[in-house]
Parts: sequence; structure tokens; C-alpha cells
Amino acid sequence: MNVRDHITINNVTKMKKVAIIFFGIVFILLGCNREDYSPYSYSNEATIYSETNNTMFRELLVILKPYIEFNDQKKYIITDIISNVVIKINDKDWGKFNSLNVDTSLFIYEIYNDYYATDDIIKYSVIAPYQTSKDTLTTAGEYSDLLNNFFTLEPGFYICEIESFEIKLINGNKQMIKPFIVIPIEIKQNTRSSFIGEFDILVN
Amino acid sequence: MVMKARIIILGLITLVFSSCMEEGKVQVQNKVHNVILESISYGDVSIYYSLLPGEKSEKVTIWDLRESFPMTHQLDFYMVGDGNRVYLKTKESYELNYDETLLIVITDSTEVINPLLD
Repeated sequence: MNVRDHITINNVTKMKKVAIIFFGIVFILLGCNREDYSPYSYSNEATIYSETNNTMFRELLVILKPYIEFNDQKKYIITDIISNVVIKINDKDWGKFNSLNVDTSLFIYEIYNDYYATDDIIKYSVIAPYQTSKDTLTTAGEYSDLLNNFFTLEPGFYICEIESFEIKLINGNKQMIKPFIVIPIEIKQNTRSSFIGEFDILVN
Repeated sequence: MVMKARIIILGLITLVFSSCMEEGKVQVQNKVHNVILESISYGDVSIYYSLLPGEKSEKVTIWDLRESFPMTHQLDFYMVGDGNRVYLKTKESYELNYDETLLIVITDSTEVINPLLD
């Protein structure tokens, strides 16, 4: 074997390598493979979240203290929960909420008219984040409205109204109370929530 | 000679594989008010990164086996508005046949699903 033959063999080997690489690339590009167009990887834990670094306003807080008068004395109504607290801001629905649960076993109470009541002050705390007007969003337009109104209160003053709530009676029925609480509230820049106040509410 | 023959055989195999492929095109338009649609995907295929309201994507070609057509997929995307974001899928599945261009227009009335709540 002379030098010329050796060079020829080397060239053929190089061509083989080039051909293998070429066809490898062709196979990768044209191969019958469904994975050619890789999808983005999405999380199923979809949620709505904010990209801004500012503290965003999320919720209103209020404490309700419903009571009855018995022999000119305040008797605070005791039940596990106050339900369907309707809150309006500037005459627009903010949402309908239940209070946090109250452990009634901690108190000594008696029956007064249609209610269980006690001399102790019973505070029902209501945490009220913004709710959408619909329970179930079904269209892209509704989601757009939600995203653009998710934190609906810009800094400033608003008129807040506790329009109504419901209390459970002894017989298990619910009584709707309309307390007519109307109060101005201020939403400050970079605050997460606003405390509306504590309200003693006479139930007749 | 042997080398030439191998190249020809490989070429033929490549042609056979590539000839079983077909293409369809998908285009998406965002007609939802006040939101951007991001990371739009048709089934496993990424269609477009971001569409402003009213904007239409380019036609994205999907190659697949002829027997994979007509393919039917939902469109999924991130909807972004006012710094907030949600992941959604269209309720409807859209059918794409080969040699066709499928235009999917997402409007305010397009029914969508939030997989978290599904």
C-alpha cells in the first residue's frame, strides 16, 4: 500500500463519517416523530397571581356584634356563624361572605325570644376579599373582567355599606338582618386590607 | 461503490419517511378585550408567545403523519391582564386537516376552562 492509497482510504472514512452525521441530522429533522414540536410545559396548578411588586389591596375586614335588648340590657346573640353578609362599596356589590366560626361552647348562654344570647360580647369577624359577580366564569371575556378587576380598589375614599346578613334562630331558621351600616373607608397605598370597624347591631 | 450504495439507500429511507409527513397550519387571533394571550399552544404544538388584543399570529406549520390528520385539540394559553395571570383552555376543540389553515379566533364569548377548577 503506497501513500496515495492511504490518503484515499482516509478520505473514504471521512466521507462515511460525514454521510452518517448528515443522515443523522436529516432523520432528526424529518423523522416521523410527534415530539418534533415540543410543547411548553404548563402547570396544572393554575391560579391568578399578580406580577407587580407592590402590596395589592385584597380584602375588607369587619366585626359584627348583633344583640337584643332584654330588660334594657344588651344580650349578645350567640350562634356558630353569621352568614351571607352582603357588602357594597360605592353602591356596587363587593361580595357575600360568612363570618369566621365562633366556638359557642366557650360561653354561657340562655334563650331570649328566638335567640341564644349571652352577657358576653360576641364578635363575629368577617373577612371579605373581592368576589366576582358570578360564581363560575365560563368565557374568556369574563376572565378578562376578573383579571382587570381582581384588585378593584385603588387608593382613595369609598363608601362601604353592610347591607344585610343572616342569623340562625333557635328553631334553625335564618333571619335576615338589615343593619344599615354605611361608613366611609380609606384605602391607602400599599396596604393589603382595610378594617371597616366593629359594629353593635340591635336586632329587633 | 459500496459507499454510494449506502448513501442512496439512506436517501431512499429518508424520502420514504418524509413522504409520510403532511402539514397543516394554525393561526390564532386574540379578540378578547384588555388582555394579552401568552404561550399559546394547540395540543402539543406551541403556536405563539404573545398576542395583544386584536393581534393575529403568524401561520404556524404543523408537520405530522398523514394518519394523524385530522387532528383535534383544544387551545391553551395564559391570559394576562393588569399584572394578573390565569391559565386557561378553550372548551371547544378545533379540528385541523392537512393542507388546511385553521384560524382560531378567541373572543370575549369563547368558552374557556380553568383546569384548577375543573
